[in-house]
Amino acid sequence: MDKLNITHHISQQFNAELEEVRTKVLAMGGLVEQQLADALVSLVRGDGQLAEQVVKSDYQVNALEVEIDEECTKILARRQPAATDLRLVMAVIKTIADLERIGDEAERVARMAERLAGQEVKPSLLGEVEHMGEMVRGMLHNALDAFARTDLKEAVDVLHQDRRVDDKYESLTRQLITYMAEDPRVIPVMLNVLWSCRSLERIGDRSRNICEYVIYLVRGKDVRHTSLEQIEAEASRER
Amino acid sequence: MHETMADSIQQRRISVKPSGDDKPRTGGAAKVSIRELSFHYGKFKALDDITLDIPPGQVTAFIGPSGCGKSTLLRCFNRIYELYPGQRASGSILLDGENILERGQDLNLLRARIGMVFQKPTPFPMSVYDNIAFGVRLYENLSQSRMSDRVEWALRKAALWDEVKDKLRQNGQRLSGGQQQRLCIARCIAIRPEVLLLDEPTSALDPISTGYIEQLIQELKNDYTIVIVTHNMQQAARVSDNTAFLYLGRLIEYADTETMFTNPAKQQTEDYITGRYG
Repeated sequence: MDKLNITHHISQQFNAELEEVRTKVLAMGGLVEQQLADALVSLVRGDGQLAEQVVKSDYQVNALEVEIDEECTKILARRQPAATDLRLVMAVIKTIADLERIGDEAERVARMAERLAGQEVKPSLLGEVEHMGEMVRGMLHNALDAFARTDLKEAVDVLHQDRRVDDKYESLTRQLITYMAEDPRVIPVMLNVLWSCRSLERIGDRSRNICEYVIYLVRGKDVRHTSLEQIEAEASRER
Repeated sequence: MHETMADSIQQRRISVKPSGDDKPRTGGAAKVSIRELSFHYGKFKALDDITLDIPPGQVTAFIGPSGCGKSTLLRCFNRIYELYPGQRASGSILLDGENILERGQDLNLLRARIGMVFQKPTPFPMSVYDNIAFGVRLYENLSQSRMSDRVEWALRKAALWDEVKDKLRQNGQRLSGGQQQRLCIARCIAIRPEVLLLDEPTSALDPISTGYIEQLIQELKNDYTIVIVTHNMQQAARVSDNTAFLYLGRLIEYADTETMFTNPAKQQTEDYITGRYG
């Protein structure tokens, strides 16, 4: 992160405040990553107990979101940050909102896992869901890494991964519809699987958002709602 | 693709000529155009090849560390430096296209067109009324009633009328610091200048008085071109439309204020406005 020289302020206290906020975002990211990993394991293995743990742990993520928000408000009020510092605070406020929602989606996957525990689901289908889950976990991990290192290349890579996740989601959806059409008795179970996939896809989208904030932080350019090609061009532009 | 905010900021960036081949923004739109201006205090070069345009009806802020030349630049606008020996400017400053640095300029007229308010309130040791009327009498021969109208107009414009209307005969130096500064602004605008130069106008004032002056700046910019020098960067961010960053006598960056405070182009600007040691 210190490509942005956040520890180079004349005020050591300001350095410490920004550093603390950044560290807490990464800690929050670590919690959310763990939530997602556990939710996936509980889904694939049908582990209801682990799923329950995921649901119960969500309060920690929520508490961190509130705490970081408060610290950002304090920085805005007391420091009136400008330029990179301002963009960092804005990026943090947006990132933690997405992380919190990723936590909610992981919780939703865990709830589906609780419902699916003990139900019969085709192993091959679970394998596919697990694959999609791993792709999404990778995206989240890389998005947090891009944030930690303010690494534009990694941020753009995540955007590419999101396309692959979207394709995977579409293919899984078609597969699930086929199963449901073939045998209506499996509809309740398949719907739970479908909603889990939907949550995973949303986590991918939110990881993508985090990467867009990283590009905004480094480049000062808001790349939301622009094409991947435009974002790549912006990220590779000489400053 | 929708135009993003960042795009529009990028497009509104005002080109300057601190380095590289960027051409300064040209066109008749500028109220004051500074071209290749250098300034010397004796042998010391305080300003080095400054080129920038001050647009009309807007607030332009000069920021930079102490000794960077921002007050010196402001002092060139009405040639107030000529009161002191050994100070000289080269290059040109065009006010509506006319070079005010040329010899033969009527300095009294120039200073009536370009008014200046200083860091410390400087009311004259006379009544509130006479503080305003004093400058007007130098340039215009008004009847008693028209002079009273002018005094009221200037005090109203400076958002001071309601506070002093019952004490117009009271000594101006007995007003509070914030009121004194607004009195100085009223005195300045009473002679109806075209450009208003404010040299750290609120640095000696409390936040409430500062708030009044800042509000006043917003209201005055519709009628005047305002240039403000300030050490308070939040103030520059709050009140100005354009910001110029000077360092060691050179213009480092000049852009619209929003861009300067969210995404400056130059690392030096970034380091200064974010309080880094760079």
